[in-house]
Amino acid sequence: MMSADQRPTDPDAANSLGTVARLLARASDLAWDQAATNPDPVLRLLGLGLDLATSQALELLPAGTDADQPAPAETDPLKLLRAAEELTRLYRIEDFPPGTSHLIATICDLLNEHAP
Amino acid sequence: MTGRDKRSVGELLLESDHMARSILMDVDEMDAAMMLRTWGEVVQAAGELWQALPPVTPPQPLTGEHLPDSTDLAIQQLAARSEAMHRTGRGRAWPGDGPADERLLRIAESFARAADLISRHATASPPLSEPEQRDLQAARTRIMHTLYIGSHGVAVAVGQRARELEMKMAARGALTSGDSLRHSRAAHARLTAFEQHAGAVLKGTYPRALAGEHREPPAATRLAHALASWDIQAHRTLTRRLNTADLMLTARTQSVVLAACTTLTRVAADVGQLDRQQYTTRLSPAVETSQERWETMARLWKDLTPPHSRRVDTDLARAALETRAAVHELISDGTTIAHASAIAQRTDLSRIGRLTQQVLATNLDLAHATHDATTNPELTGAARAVNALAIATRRHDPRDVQTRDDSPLAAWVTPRDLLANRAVPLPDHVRSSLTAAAGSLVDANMTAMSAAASLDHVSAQDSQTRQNGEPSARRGRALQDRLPNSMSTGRPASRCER
Repeated sequence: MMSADQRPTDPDAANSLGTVARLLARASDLAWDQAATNPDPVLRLLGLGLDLATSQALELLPAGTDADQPAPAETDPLKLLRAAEELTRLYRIEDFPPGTSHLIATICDLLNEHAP
Repeated sequence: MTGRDKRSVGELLLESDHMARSILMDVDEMDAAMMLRTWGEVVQAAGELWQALPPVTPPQPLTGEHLPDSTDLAIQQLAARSEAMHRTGRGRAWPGDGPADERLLRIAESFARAADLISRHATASPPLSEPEQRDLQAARTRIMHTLYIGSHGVAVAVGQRARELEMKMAARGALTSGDSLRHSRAAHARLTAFEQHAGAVLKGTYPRALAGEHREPPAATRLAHALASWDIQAHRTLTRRLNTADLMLTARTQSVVLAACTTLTRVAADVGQLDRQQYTTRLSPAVETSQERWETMARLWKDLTPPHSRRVDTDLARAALETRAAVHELISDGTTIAHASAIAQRTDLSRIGRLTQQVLATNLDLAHATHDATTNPELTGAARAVNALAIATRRHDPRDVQTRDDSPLAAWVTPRDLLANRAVPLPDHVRSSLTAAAGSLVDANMTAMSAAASLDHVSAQDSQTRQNGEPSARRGRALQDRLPNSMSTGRPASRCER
């Protein structure tokens, strides 16, 4: 086994990861809603990046995890993305399932690319 | 380190993680040379910290020696790779001597401080209790995680520098003293391999392709490869399983691809690589309509995806990720679209016409695959969206006998399904409306493909113009100018390096 840590995932951390998935899913929906009235390709790159990050987060959670409810009230995709990153700091990396590091790198990359 | 530092090992490791993340988020503003100079120190400190940790394997019966486990071996490999990279880099003009990166230095210091704390309080060959073993595993994970995030940040910075140098060289034909494209590329390749290895350890799978170091292909080839892989994977996924989340991702990825196509063809038309008249009157409107239709389909698929089924096929996501990355690298500069001159330097604009034709052919084929999905009787949709669509489509049909005064006479979805918003079969008229939307998508994409067919003539005209001795000074770089040395002759070309 190559994994550096085989500890079971902390239930609170997993719960928080579910919230991360919802924040990302909501951010993606909002970005694509904005894209409907704005031809900027960068908005679409953000939307697709958020879709893929959502999918990455859901890969770490049990199948059938609800990515839509409850929907966050915030309507700025970048603020939601930042909130998702901050949420991943609430728990130690070893409390999350293996593979969360990749999700964190994806989120940080998106922030670097799109957050001024 | 001062004696006043009261942080625990856990706190030091947590700070290292946060520091590595902040580097990744600000990587655009950072100096690649400074980062590269300091990275070796981070890895060395991580290796020493790892060494200071108690062993995780049991002692050997006769010798009492602890054999390394696979993660111990992995950190040794990473440390050796890093050391080799820095040894080769020593004495070179780039990254050369100079200041260190403060944040990476703080990570290295935190690792060193943690190693010191552990060494001072360690007892000889301790039998670890279960909580201690858990802490040990946690510390190992945190170290590896920080190395993974950190190496990604350094690789991004060095990759950006390599791209800047490529552009500089294309513009001036040579690089100034202290700039080395070859060294930047080599460092980037090694950092990428490091990152892959650390990432694979964290994922719990052994890296499959580390024997040969990863090499970033030139931008135009990367996009062409990404689009080809996307085409293959999208077809595979859509024929293997029927899932609205996959259809949504396909539609949104196509939207991004077409947005990139619009940007690239506009730049190519601006510099005379495509006929401006054809671009303005035929190609551009057709591609924009095609993109709009994909986005309409994506909205439908999004609504029809039950909230519990948003996870997409892993292979499809991977192909979409690479496509997005290739598009982003080519057309973006920070949070805006790159200037036309920058795009012209990143890619061979004479190939955009052909690439566009390929994209639009794939586009049409995927539109057909989408259309086929709408006719598949196994297709289901989220109950609330199905209900809303059922009501909306019936309302617009005045001949419908099942609707009176805009209200349905019978429910299409049960209250229980509505409450749970679970996947339900599609009523016929909902399916028909979806099929009609997919039909419009196919029509738009056929128009776009035929508009792109005219690009052949433009290319022919263009090459004729060139033969007549009227080359455009603003055509973008020729392909051979952009190929890395290793892909052309294996040796540095003249004027390429000092």
